Amino acid sequence: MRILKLFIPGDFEDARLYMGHLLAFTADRRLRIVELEPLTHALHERYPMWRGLLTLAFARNDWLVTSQFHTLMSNDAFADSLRAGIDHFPADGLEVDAVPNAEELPGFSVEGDVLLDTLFYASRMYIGTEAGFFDFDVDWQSKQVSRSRKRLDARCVSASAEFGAVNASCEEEDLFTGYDEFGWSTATDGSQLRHTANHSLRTAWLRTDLVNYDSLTHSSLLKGRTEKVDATYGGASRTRKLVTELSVERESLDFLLEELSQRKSLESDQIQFVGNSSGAFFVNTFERGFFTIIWLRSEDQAKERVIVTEYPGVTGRVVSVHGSGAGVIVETDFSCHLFSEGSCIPLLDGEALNVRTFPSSKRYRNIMAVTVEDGVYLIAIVDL
Amino acid sequence: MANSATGTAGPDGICFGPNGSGKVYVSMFVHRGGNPRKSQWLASVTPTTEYEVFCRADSQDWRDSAHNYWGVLDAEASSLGTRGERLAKFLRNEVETAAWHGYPVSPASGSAGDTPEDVLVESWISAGSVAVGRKIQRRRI
Repeated sequence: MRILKLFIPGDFEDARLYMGHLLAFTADRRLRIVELEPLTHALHERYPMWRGLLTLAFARNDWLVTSQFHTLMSNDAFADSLRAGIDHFPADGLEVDAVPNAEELPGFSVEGDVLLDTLFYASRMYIGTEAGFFDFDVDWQSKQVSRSRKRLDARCVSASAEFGAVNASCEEEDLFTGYDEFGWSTATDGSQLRHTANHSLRTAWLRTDLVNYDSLTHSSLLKGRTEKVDATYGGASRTRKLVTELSVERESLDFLLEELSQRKSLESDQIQFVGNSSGAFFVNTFERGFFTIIWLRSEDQAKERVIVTEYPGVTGRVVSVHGSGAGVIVETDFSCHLFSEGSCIPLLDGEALNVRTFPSSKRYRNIMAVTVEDGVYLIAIVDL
Repeated sequence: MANSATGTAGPDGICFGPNGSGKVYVSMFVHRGGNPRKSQWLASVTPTTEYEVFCRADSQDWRDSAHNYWGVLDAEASSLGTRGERLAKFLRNEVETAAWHGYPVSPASGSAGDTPEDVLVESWISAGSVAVGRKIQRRRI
């Protein structure tokens, strides 16, 4: 597994990959759009020895897993040539000194001075600032904002979305959820957010349920009621699973941490960070290592099981944990690592302002966008 | 900055000052091993350095609307506390002449009391005093 980096300098606060674009939020509240394929094509002119590789790594990473590509890789001459290019790729990455065709999203303006979180879901862009929670419907082909709304007045520090629902975490001003945001079930656009829980720093989906974190380590579980609907979106019709209601199932998930503490003889105050993906919890301790917890749930709580696995290699305070196609990305105060198949692979040595991964994306499952003080790193994980 | 870098031991901690604005400061023993339930300063952050962090916060008027002062060690907000805390909070004094004290805090804890107000962090960002201001506002430090 190899790590390739592209650095785009600038004064950015956040960056995401979406529908062929790098979308970078600038410090002066603009949204800069960089087309990825023209960017890599321009880099091919400057760096002919990596012609093709840059597009494969950063613009069309999904091509690396196609049967067509695997067929080509069965040719030793092709495979050797590609691997040689990767071997000669600078460990610190390439820096982009000129971005071709960079544009700004016209009509984009958001209330507030402090950009706290961004989220893209089903072509809608959600933004949390100290002044509220906002959404923007954007036509990403014509690059036009067709509608923008303020959804909440509360300071929104974090947002998550899945199953047609969006969650806005507003700290002491609580957690709010918009259901059926795109009218897939009821032909409405779900403009009204509903109060879901008290106090929320962040949320993360656990399959169709939602874990609400009110601190770095304490969380509760909200059970998602689901329904399947046939919905048309972007001209295509498909069956979708919607979460139509969230209600408290477990006031506290501390029992998972207690189980971990018992099995590993940990003091409870050793727990530094808890996060989760759709299928697992991630727990970091101050001095006793990093763990995953897989919670095998059952209607009968007596039949539930917990699987704990310890992972070496994480040092420092964990800030966030993200899923990706290649494995779990762990961000600490001063570094990022990839955990994959038992290995801990360094991705970035330095402090990130924001780490974004795209595990549900087709093209960008193995790419991350890391905003740092002086620019954005695109980090591609290439496994040939 | 600090006009008295040498402290004297008192019953609750090492006393410094008065500084340029007349404030007296105590580096409390409870935050240096005396009470493990309270946040603890790193050993490498000496009481004198702790006092300097306070004096900088005071001289720069890094004060919130409740009159607490907030400080950082440097522009990178290097660690101050044994649990990775990178900010310091100096609690508001009800009595003007009483000694000030402070301790390391982490906004990521989720406690509103451990987080400086946005407007104060914005002033740090504007002045270039802290490189990771947005991380503070996003509760990621």
